[in-house]
Amino acid sequence: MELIAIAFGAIFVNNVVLKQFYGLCPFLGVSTKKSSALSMGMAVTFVITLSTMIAYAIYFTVLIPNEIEYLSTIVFILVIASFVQIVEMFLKKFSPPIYSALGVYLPLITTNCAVLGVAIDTTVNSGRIFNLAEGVIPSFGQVTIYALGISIGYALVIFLFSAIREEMDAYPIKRNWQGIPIALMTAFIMAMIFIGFGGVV
Amino acid sequence: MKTLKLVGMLTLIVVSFSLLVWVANDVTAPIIAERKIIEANAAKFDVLPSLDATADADALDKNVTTYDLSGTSITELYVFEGKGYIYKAEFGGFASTIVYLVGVDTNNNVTGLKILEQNDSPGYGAAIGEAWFSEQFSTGKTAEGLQDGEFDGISGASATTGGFTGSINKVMSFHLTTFGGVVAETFEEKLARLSGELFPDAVFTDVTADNEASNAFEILFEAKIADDVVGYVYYIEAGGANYAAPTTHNHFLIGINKDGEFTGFSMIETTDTSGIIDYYKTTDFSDEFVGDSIDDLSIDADGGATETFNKIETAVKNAIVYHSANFSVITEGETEEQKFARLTTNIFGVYTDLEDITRDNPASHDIDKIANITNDGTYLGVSYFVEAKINDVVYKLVVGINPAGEVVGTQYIYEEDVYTEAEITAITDLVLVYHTANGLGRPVAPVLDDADLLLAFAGADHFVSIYDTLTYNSTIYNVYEAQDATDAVLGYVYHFKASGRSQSHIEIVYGFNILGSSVTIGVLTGDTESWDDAAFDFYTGGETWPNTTWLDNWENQVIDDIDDSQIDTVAGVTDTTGGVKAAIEEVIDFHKAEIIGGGS
Amino acid sequence: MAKHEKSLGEIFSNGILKQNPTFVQFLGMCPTLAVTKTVESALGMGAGVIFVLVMSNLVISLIRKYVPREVRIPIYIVVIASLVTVLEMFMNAFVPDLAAQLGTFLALIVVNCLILGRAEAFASKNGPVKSMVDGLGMALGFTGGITLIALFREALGKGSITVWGELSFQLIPDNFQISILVESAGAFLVFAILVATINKIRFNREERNEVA
Repeated sequence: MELIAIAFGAIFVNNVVLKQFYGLCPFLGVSTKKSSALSMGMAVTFVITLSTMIAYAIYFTVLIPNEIEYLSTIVFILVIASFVQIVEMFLKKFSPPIYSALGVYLPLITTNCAVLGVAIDTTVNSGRIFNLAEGVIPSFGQVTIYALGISIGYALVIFLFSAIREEMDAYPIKRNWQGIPIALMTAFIMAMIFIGFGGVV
Repeated sequence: MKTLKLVGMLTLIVVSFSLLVWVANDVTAPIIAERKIIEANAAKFDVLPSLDATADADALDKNVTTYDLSGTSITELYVFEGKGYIYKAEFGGFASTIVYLVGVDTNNNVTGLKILEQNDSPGYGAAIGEAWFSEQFSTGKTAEGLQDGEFDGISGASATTGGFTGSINKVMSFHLTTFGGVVAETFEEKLARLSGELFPDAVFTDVTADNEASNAFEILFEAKIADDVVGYVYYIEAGGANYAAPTTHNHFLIGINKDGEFTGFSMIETTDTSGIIDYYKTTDFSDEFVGDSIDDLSIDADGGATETFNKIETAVKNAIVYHSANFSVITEGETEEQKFARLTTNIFGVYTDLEDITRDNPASHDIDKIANITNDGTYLGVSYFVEAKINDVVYKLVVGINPAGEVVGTQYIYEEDVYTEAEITAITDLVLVYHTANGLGRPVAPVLDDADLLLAFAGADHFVSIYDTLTYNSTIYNVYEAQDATDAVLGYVYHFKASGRSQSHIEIVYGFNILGSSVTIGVLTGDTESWDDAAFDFYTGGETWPNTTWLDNWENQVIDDIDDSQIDTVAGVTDTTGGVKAAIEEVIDFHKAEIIGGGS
Repeated sequence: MAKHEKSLGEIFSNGILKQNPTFVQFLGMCPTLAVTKTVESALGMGAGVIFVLVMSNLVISLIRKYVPREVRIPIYIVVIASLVTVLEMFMNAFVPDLAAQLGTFLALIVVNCLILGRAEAFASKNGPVKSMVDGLGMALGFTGGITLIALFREALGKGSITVWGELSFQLIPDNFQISILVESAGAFLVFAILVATINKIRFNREERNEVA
């Protein structure tokens, strides 16, 4: 039950894009087509979930016991960068179809702040995210479900958003509102809708 | 070669930047750690500002448990070498447990106080959580001062203030004796010191065990100078202001010398509210006693502290009774009246007021004086001053008879007299004959106007007092038959008293019909304390005593239902409602026994 | 090769106006929306970005000749991440309240595209002085951008602007604030309107230039 609450909260209530403002650059940049948004969403889900698990393991088994948690930012970004690199190489070699679908988006993910943000939130800021007392370590299950929820929320919103933008292409928009401004306006309306989930959990 | 250069460069960069981060961490880590300690212990830093996050880090969360804290209200104790002490303590406020921290430095100066938890009523005890209350402890207060209650209490929140006064007193006493370099004065030492002030140069012997058990005192000392008894010191417990807390008490000493004069008064300890009790701790109050004869005590209440005063005065008077019964040296020139009063007081064991009724009764060769006896308004009975001639021997005796017509006790008018039991019985029999024949043993019943009685029985034409034919009951002033124009009995009206708040009496008229139901209730004199009006307003949602729906509950009820206590007292005004309820139940018992059971 | 050498003034103003990271390049969008609830946190974030961007541009420009091309990105990341960590430490030590307000976004300066972007596009090709000026210009442009957004959000959303807990200006009476603006969603709205307005001004000017 607790895990369901965490998942729902991560997907809807604290939606990574609309509420927490993580990963906005690719959100506004990539999500012009449904197909590319879907691929991006899948790639992000894969990277966020796995890199968060790795970050969790490193933080609580290496950094904390050795009292070098202040290195977390450096270590996490290196882990994410290397992990993305390895995934890219791996896909290129063993699964060319998936690579051709996702490959172009992978390098972008390194600088997607959602990945680093979730890694930091589930470790350094875990007390705030999971409402834990000081010194209590979140369970692996909690962290995994949270990361999965966040990335599903990301994929969901970016897909919905791209669908709206595809439709919008058919209509005339004033020149100064074209592109980013109208995208932001759309995001504003979606964010308003997502406020409604606030009362559920 | 190329690879080597890559790896080398990468390693160099990583190492040099790790070094940078490491240096930065070295600089900032202690500052961050210190800040976190201050944040986590903000309350402690507030009450003892000289604390240092680095130097005192270990002591901050080390609750020292090696001291005996029982009875001190202290729950946690922190010791900071060379800086001071922090106490966490708790006490019961009016509506909640209140938890606070207080800091004291090594010079016994109080450095700060913080209320951590309180949930008292807004507008009353909750004011303890307001900033002004805590702030007064930040500067200029000493542990000794707080021990003596030197701070501003919260007006309108006597219970909470009283609880705090008691708690802070115990905390500071613990501090001063444990860390403050003050050698603890034991209770015995304190008694000895203050007794010494009442009888300078005297040597004291505890004679409590040698004397009759009495609730007039807790401890009794005999004061001697060079083998001569110069007087006695009574250690007495009295109640305090009720609204502070039901357990409020005052412990004090009084000295009475061999001439029957007070040598002073000395408060030993009190849980009464500071402000109320202040005057009674002063030498001014003690001076009111000094030189007064025990037969003629004249002390005055401090304005606004009459309830405490009444409790103290009553306790002192009880001690006077005990003293005059056991130690009084009959002074030269004691008048017959004084002697009568003294001996009567001895018989009844509590301080008494005498109302001479000799002239209201038929003359008798054997009886010189007759008096109705009351204590604080309660009728105790009749006392007779007898000079009877039986078989040509003159017997002189004071005889006390209670309202039930039983002999309470006798006292010799001349101390040297010794009579046999048969002689005493002969005298008391003689008195009882006179007592019964003349219908004594009760005060003269006051007669109310019909207007007052109609409050209790509106349907009556006129009322006839029938109390003389019934047993006396100290709760009841008078009993009337309610009659119609043809003198047929419709019912009965009781005029009685109930105790209210603060020693006040409430006079009530209450009617019953002959079918066994109550009629109406009327309050003749409201509870005189304005507190009651305000309290009724507050607790019953705007109703004013005595015009309350609570009183209406008693009307038009079957007597048996009332007697089964189906009407509850009202929380917050239990003194008044409880007093009225108890009196009504007493009256109903009387009514059932005397009227219904009596075959009316 | 005759190449037009830009003056320091041009480099500086480039970041602030022509290539403004917030309103023209749309770089660093996450903090742009996340920390603009109050002017205070926007200024704090701006100060952090100024420090990191100027320092990283300086360091990268200094080591640019020794960095092998193949591993330049990992090295840039290490440099930036270290600088951000140092910044985090000092902010936690000396301005803990501000650090708490910025939260995770302080650490996320690491992945702010603006920083890595300037390292790659400018510092790796220019000398230390120019790189620092470029960093300062860009960072000030970013600070100005987010502070402008924060000004609108706080002024209209809360009715008053409070900086450092002391300076406070009441602009809109109580009960008349547009409180949605200080909600998360409001950030999108304010940003959208500001961008559209700036676009309008830019396009109008371009048209006039063309006519001229």
